[in-house]
Amino acid sequence: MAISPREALGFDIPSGAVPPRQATRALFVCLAVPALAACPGDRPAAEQPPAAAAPVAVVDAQVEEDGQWPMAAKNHASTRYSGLTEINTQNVHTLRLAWTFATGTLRGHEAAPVVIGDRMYLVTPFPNNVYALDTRDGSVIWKYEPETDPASQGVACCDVVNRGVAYDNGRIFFNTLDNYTIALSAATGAELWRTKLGDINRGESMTMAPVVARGLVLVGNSGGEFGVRGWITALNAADGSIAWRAYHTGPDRDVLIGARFRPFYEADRAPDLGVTTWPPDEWRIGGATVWGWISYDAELDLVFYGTANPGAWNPALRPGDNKWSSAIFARDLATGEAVWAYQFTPHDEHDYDAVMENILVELPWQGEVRRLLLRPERNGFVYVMDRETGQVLSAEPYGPVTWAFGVDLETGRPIKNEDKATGNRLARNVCPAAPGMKDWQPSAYSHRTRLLYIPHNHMCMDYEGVEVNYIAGTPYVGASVVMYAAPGDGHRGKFTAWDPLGQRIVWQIDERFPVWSGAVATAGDVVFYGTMDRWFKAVHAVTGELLWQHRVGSGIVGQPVTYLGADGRQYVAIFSGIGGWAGAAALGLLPVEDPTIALGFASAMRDLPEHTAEGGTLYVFALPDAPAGPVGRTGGPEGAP
Amino acid sequence: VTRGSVLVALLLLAAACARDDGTDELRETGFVAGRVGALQTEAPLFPGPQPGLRLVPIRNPLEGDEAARARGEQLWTWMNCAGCHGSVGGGGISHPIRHGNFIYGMDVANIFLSILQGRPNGMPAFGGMLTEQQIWELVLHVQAIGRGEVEADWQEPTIRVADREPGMLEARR
Repeated sequence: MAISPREALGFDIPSGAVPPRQATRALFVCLAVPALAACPGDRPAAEQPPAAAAPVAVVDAQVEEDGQWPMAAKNHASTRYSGLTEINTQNVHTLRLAWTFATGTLRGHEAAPVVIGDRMYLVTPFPNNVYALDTRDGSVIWKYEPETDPASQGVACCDVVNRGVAYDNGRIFFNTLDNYTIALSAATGAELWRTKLGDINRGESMTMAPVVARGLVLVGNSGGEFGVRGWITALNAADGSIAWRAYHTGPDRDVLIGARFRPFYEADRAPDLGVTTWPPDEWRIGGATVWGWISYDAELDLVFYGTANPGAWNPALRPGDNKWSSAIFARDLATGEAVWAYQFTPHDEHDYDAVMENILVELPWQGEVRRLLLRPERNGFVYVMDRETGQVLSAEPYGPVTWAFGVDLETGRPIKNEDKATGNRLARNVCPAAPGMKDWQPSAYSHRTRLLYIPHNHMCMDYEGVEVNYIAGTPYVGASVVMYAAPGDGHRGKFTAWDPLGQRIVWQIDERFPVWSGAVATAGDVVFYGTMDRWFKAVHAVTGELLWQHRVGSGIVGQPVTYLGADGRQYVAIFSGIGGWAGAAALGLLPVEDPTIALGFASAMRDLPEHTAEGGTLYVFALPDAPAGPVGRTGGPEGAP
Repeated sequence: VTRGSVLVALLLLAAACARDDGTDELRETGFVAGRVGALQTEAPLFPGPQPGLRLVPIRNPLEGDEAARARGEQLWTWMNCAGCHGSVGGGGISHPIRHGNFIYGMDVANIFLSILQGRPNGMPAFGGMLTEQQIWELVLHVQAIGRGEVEADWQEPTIRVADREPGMLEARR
């Protein structure tokens, strides 16, 4: 784009957004907030008094909106923010079911459906079938079956999930549990190429949703509980050939650390830290996989993503910082060269993967507009980082934390509580629990409220590192864990509106179970999320007030999306289908008799089967009397062959 | 199956009973299954020894040897069985086997083969890592799990709630 969106709009828009076919403006310049008589305008939230009653200033964020949802995170900035306003706080209570679609699979449905033009594309849990549906009525246009190897189910630590497809330039890209990245024609479903990237016999699998930028498909492996060596790989979208691969353990040449590498903190600057921060050869099975989220800033031409936990879970087996596990990288898109890195949790002792979403925004930080990266992290802190340098500007807890006393912003290192160390010892009352304050479930960011909407967990645990043997293709964990509710009335989930500038909770909703779904925020000031006890909810972005809810068939662990259908109406879609790590207890396991199963999660979820059984259905909602017409008729897939 | 063939089968069965002692040895080899199987009028939908087939069941040669079962329990941990099946068979990556609900059969022969050769939905083959003796030890322990005889060290009576402890960080509001 010729001019900076920030200059044009006075606000950030998702980096790399496609040129708009239709720009939808926010309905309200400012929302009536009881405590404010006048419009709050564009006053930086950081200047507001940090009082608990501080009101939310709603700004006129003129974000370009094309009504599409081309990737799981909506855009390369991973905001999961839609500028659509047809469904808003005034009418969302009338939302009703438009159509449904059963996927024929009964495991955890964690994927986001993707929408381009008049078609929706979705991928099921194993065996990872892909469907193209008509956005208006759910008619099946084509189906693709990848014939995924059934043996791959044996190396999926946390249910046989898949987190979604990605659309780019007439093609659909997705990963299979048995380690293929596959490209399909969006028009016909014909397979264009498939590339094998990993080996189930070494414990590798793939569950993440690819991200496509400038002709490169970015994917990563899973298997941190199987002693794999984590990597990210860029494939050429045209033919599936590998452009580059970076490992996250081992020598610098494998990690693609070279002349451009300028980490912000001293501790990250020595050579070959991926070797020297491990006992000899432990890095070869050290984990640090990439099964979560990737963002891309087109102006900086940098890719941002995090790495998962180190293996094994018993930290006594791996003295040292264990780089580059539980860390974030900024890399050059074309070459993969590392530009900076930062380790959120050195020498992780509690399974605090760092695969969280990286939300890219430009906001005034202490008086100066900066390119920020927001990360509600698994280890319990919300990090605000400068994404040009990798500096941590703020790291504040968003729930109860006992494993650390805080993060030292001088060194970037967490200040650990040694009472919670777990190497060959039992630590009790460790907060957050192993799935973290938040696991993979992605947050949304509203450009109007400037709040993060975080679906998350409210749990603590007992954790004991125990002996374990490495046998390729089998679990490499070495920890006995049992989880339970964090302090409170026994609820285990939260949905939190977080002010990243004020570094505080604005409002919060308690949920019985971990909120294992993603979130969406819209310019209609509605925020959507789902619960494991089968509610799909719409809440007010400013107040958190419950505006609407719909009971679905099976618990929700998917990612909501919203889009303009080919008929010009706004739709909201969500998968129902319990599963994932948190949902294991509803898949027929016996957590009461065997309390450490599902890595200690199922014990805390033993009441889940009272609320849901397996399922696998997409639900799509719309307003009852929305006008069809010229608005937003978007035609077929862009550039589809 | 015609009426005639059933009659023939019954006659054969009578003959087989008459020469009971003479065929036991053959039956132990398993190679008579085809011939004796001709007596059946249905194809049972569960694996393992079949009623009506008077095959001598394969027994665990270590049956009743508690020391061998204890070695099997150690192997259960060392071979990372617990990582998928749960420490006492409650499931996880695998479905639970605690109440004898084995997809590939709960007979000792089925369990032995599952460990030796693996199974197609994600059970790895351990034949290259274990001796025949060790597999039988493991089978003994798996049998005990399948009968629900192996209990966890501890069980939580209810879902616990963590303590609010000194030094616990909390979010600002």
